[in-house]
Amino acid sequence: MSIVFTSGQGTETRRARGGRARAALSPATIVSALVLLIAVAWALAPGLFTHFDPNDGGDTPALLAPSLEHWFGTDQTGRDAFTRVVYGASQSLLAALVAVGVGLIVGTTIGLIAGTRRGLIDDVLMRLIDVLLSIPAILLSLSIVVVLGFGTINAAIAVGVTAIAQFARLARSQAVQINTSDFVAAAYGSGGTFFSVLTRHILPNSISPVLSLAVLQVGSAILQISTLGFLGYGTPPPTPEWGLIIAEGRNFVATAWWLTVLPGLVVMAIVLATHQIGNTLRKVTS
Amino acid sequence: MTDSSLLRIDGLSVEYSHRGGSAAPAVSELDLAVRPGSMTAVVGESGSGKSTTANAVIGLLPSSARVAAGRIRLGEIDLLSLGTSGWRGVRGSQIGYVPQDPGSSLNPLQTVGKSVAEALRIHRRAGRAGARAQVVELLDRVGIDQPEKRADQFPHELSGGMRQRVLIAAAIALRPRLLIADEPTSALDVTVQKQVLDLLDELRAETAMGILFITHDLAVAGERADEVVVMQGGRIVESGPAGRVFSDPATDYTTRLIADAPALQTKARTARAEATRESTDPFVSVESLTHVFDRTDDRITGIEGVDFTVARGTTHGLVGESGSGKTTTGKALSGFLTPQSGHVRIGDFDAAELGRGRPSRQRLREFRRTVQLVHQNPFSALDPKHSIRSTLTEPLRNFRLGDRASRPRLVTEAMDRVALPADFLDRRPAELSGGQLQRVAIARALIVEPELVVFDEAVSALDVTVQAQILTLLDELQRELGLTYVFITHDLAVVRQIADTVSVMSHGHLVDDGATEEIFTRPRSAYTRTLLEAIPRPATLSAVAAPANNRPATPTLLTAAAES
Repeated sequence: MSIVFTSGQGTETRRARGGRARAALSPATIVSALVLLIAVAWALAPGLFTHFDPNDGGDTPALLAPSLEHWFGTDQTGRDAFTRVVYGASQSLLAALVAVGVGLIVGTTIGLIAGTRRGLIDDVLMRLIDVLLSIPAILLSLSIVVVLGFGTINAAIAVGVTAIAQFARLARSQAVQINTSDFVAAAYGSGGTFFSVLTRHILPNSISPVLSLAVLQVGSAILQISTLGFLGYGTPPPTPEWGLIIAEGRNFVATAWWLTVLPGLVVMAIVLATHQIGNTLRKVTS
Repeated sequence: MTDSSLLRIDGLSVEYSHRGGSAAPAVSELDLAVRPGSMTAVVGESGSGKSTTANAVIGLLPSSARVAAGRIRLGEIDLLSLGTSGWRGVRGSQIGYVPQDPGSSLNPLQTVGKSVAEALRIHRRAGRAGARAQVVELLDRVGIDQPEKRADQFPHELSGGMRQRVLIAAAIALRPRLLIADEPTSALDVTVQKQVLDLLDELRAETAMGILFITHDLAVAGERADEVVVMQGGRIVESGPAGRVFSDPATDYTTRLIADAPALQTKARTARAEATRESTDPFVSVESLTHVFDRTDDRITGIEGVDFTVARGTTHGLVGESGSGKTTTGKALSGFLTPQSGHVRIGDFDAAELGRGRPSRQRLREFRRTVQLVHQNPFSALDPKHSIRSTLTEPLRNFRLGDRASRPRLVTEAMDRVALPADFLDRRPAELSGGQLQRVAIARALIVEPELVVFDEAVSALDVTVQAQILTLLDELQRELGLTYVFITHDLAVVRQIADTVSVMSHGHLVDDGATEEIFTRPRSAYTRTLLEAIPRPATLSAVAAPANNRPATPTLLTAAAES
């Protein structure tokens, strides 16, 4: 009888989970997923979406208005603006992933250790995180770029460092809670060492909200990297990078507004899409 | 009887619907009546539909539930036809409700006086000053000392029993005709439970209030209720006067429930051969164990000067109410807490020394293998992300037992030992019931072949039938493997069933210690006597159904109490 009962319960939870996933598939989520898919496709195979050269305008006239031929118009040297945005995707997305990766790995490690070890280690680590939080993010990332040198990856690392604090705080709060549960005590009881318990029990049980935060952070990272690019601290020209493209267009905003507005809208759409996906993931997993 | 009944439920069916799924009946064709001034108890295991019934009566079913058929009448009022405003005149003023968990049922940001006055204010029965006077009177009525002072305190300043009294005071504030009590004493210690039950008895004798009492505890139902309804899987299995149901159960299910409820049987455990043997060198010996967290006046939080010994191959029960320090003792025994002073010798280990100094990692591992702890709540003791197989394989890998080839066999054997089918191995904890999970937890403890197993309230979260199965299983395992058990519990009846020797703890001190039967028949301390007297005993059962050979226990106890 008990077997029948439990298997019934199993299908019930599965059904509930299926229902929740279906509820999460709102039109906004579907559109967001499409936007992100397109952005990823741009990054992987930019040649499929445009046949122009991103760095050489050839003899195309400069500052053309948007047309069927040049969707976003052309810039001051006659390069197709849409092509530059498409080719910029790989730079920006790669940088965003590196930034989130740095924040996720370093932040989660610090948070998990602080949350499980408590005491002095916890205090020292979390006060360091507080220091990190007290420095304005843009100032911190600018300083790091100045120390590391200019470049896409360095800018990404700089953005990643500013995200460490958030990941560490979230991971710590999860770890503190998981660490007091009976199954962690039972794992120590069955001979587990600190690191085996940390990786086998505490990490898997605390990671899902952290991963949802990571997806949310991808959007912010794209924005911050573009900011650094715009200020000239990111990828050096002529490599197409979203922040840089917008910065270059800024000089012609009175006569050729589309050079700033259209790439800006693309960045905005992708940031909003990652936020939407991140929120959906958080709702489904919590 | 029909005419005089206060609450009448006829053919009630409640269904829970899942999104897009079929409806599952939680209660079907339930008939029940409560007469003024009497108590009707609804008894059943978890999932039997007792709480759903109570919620249907007070109109607080969750939105996914639907009354499919039947009628509920309170006097002349048809409760099922009431709208929101209709309910407002019934809830509180005609039906009082006492929730299960006193810990979470009071608003922590309000003084308890305010919580009690809320019903009075909502129904405009009293002004500000009048409400205050009534609240103090109510608190006094439910037996709270210094009601003036208590009314201005917050829930966290009161004990569990005190909070439950406050909830009862709030429920009876408007003098309802019917009181619904949903497991009001399940979270309370036996002595506090007795006080609360006595209070309910007085109230109904005085005000002719009817009580619908929901409980999983057969002993409580048998002792206090006039009528008993036994439910299983949403259906009534048996109903009738309490005396008849307990002395002469008509169905197998009720018979089994009564047989499984440890409080209802005076079956004592057959003594182990090893237990009687004069042992000069006990396997476990605890000497003046002290670990004080906090000390106010003469009361301590923690434990002080605890001594006891356990012979190899026997079971030692550690009994006490919440806050008596039994869990702290258990943690010290299993090496999860380093006591401030004292010794805990287990075989050739000293658990107290392991935590101090810097023991070699090897030594600590050997100790962990020798002593295993089984936790109270099986739902939180297993990692929800791991399958049963991986949970059971983990200790083998940690202790380097067996190798890659032999481990699957060891795991299957462990499952077999606790009577679980091997195809459960690939399930996750969420797909198992509480009793099955506790079996997995026991299998995990036993797979490393320990010598001492500490059970911290290991059966308290389980239904009586499951509890009885686990206790039988533990008994068999002890016989097969020669294990030594330390069994921590608040339930004296369980101790009597499983333990050879018992220690009784109160406020961090050991107040009584000795062989189980001796403690039960000739308690030395006044505290043990109070504990024993607080165990609910259905009068009808002990008079009629208890086998003759078990009779001496109760009378001896009573005479012992009378003599002192």
